[in-house]
Amino acid sequence: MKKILVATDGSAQSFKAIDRAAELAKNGSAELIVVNVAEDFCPLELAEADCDVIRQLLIKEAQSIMSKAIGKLKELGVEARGIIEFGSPAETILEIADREKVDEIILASHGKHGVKKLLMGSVASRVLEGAKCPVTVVK
Amino acid sequence: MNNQKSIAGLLIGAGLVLYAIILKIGYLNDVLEYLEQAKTIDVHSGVALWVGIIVLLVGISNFIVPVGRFKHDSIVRAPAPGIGILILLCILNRYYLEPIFKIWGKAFQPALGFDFATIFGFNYILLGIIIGFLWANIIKIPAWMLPGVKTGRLILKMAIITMGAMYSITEIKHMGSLSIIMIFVFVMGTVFFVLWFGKFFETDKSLTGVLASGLAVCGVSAAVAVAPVVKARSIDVAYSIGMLLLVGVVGLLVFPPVGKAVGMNEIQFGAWVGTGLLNSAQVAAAALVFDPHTIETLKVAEIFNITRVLILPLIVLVLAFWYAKGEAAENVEKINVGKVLIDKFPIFVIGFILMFALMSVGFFTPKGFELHGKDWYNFTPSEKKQLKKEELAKIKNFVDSGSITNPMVKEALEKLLVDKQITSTAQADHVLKAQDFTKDKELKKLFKDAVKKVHEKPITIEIMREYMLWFFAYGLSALGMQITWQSMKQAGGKAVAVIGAITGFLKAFLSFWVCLFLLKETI
Repeated sequence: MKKILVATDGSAQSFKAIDRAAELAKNGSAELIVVNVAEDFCPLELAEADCDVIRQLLIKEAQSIMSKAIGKLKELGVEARGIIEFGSPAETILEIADREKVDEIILASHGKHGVKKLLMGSVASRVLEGAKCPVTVVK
Repeated sequence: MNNQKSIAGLLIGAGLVLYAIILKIGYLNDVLEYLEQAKTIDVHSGVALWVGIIVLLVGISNFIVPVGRFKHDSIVRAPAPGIGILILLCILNRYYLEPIFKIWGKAFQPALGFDFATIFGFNYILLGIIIGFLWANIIKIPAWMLPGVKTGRLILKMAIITMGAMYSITEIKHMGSLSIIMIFVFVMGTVFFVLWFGKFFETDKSLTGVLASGLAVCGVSAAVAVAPVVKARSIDVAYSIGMLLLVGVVGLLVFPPVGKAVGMNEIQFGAWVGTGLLNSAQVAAAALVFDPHTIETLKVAEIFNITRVLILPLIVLVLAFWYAKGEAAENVEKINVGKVLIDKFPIFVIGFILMFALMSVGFFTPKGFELHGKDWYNFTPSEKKQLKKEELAKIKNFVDSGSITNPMVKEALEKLLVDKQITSTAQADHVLKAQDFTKDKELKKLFKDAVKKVHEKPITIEIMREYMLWFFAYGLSALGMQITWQSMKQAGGKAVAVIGAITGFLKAFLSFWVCLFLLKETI
């Protein structure tokens, strides 16, 4: 069965990618993996203990995004597996794609940082550059 | 840790050892003579040699076995090269750059009309921070140095703990009561001001809570401490941290020259930075930039800072209750008061108090020494401390003249005539009081000199002070490397920037006037 990775950062844009993935995976025609990358925020100025506190906030946020995404897919009648990981978004998405040996990556052209003038945001373009499988960029 | 063999530690360690040897042989004597640092050669080559040997040995092991192979590599093997570089930087700043700036300051004085090096405080502390900042933001700190740079925070804590031994009970009492009042008023004032301001701007409640804590208490760490109890989003925390860092850095650069320009004394300036500056480390930095060679300003500033850090658990609770008030019950986690108080208690303060306690019971005091008020005395009889015959004769005349109305003073002087020197702190006080009974300037000076002769600081205290200054210099250079432009740029959102800038400025401004006009006394 085909394996599809769909990335979300919680933004409305990225939920368009979820819609698209749901279409492809309908009727159990593909296995769906939802990925959310929590951007580790630990500037040098912070003590390690402070970074841990922030990480806990990030994990909570990631979990709420994930349950929203999985919930939406369920409404659309698609079962999906969620993965939350810390790291820089593009690299982590590629890493998970490699590890899970996915056949396709779906993500939005812009996420929460989106500047609409550009053709696509930095995460989408870096994933496109580095991916070893077909990538669908949803506008 | 990159799991690669690294030659960095070996080279840096060898460099330090080589430098120490060159110093010992005397090749640099002329240079150091010119920079007026010749007296420092012993300490300075000692530090270079010992740190150099350790870094060299660790460096050899890093070259043979990749770092990251062993479980505890993050404690010694990874940081060693960075530690070596930081020590080199401290040596460079303290013994070369600071004296050079001093010379330049004097040289440009006729042209500028003021000594720029003194006014802007271009001393080893500020130079360390500036060089660190430029290095981190222009060239970038190499990965092998980062673990060393991260030790800065721990070393700063050690510096503050060591500082506990520098206070006398009199000083703690005096400064403590002063700081409790000032800190309480300013922290509470800032919290309520920011909460009101947030309402005015209609900022998100969580964001307001984080800002209130960060701006009121001790900057970044306070903001993070409050984040979970006000349900802040990570983006709120990121914005606030960026803003707090930016306001703090501006304060660090502005406070010392302003204090110098208006001629603040050490208590005024120490109290001002301790109240008005945001981040803990920056308080120490500003106090040392203002006054790098005696530690009087730093002592005042640190007492204020510790008072402020101690108030943090209370502020976390206040903000937790404030947040819970308007929220629906299901959105609010129950607050465990005891847990907050314990979790947020700054552990290093215990170390500080312990050092102070050890000092107070005389643990660091060598035999014969006594601490009275803020002064050290040594009453062990010795010829050096004795008054000369003609001086004693002069005092005897004065005692016999009968102009002393205070019997205690008279008794103290009579005892002085017998022993030829002062033998107790009570006697010293009374001899000083004898000045009130005469208008003869020479006689007044004689009484002061008699006390001065028994003044003596124990060498152990001097050594501890020297180490402490090294800790601070090291920690603050590392701190400079940890101020990144990137995280300050995170100071996003109009409301965050406006609230931060206005509150930061108001707090600095108000505490400035309070310190300048209300704190007249010295200790």
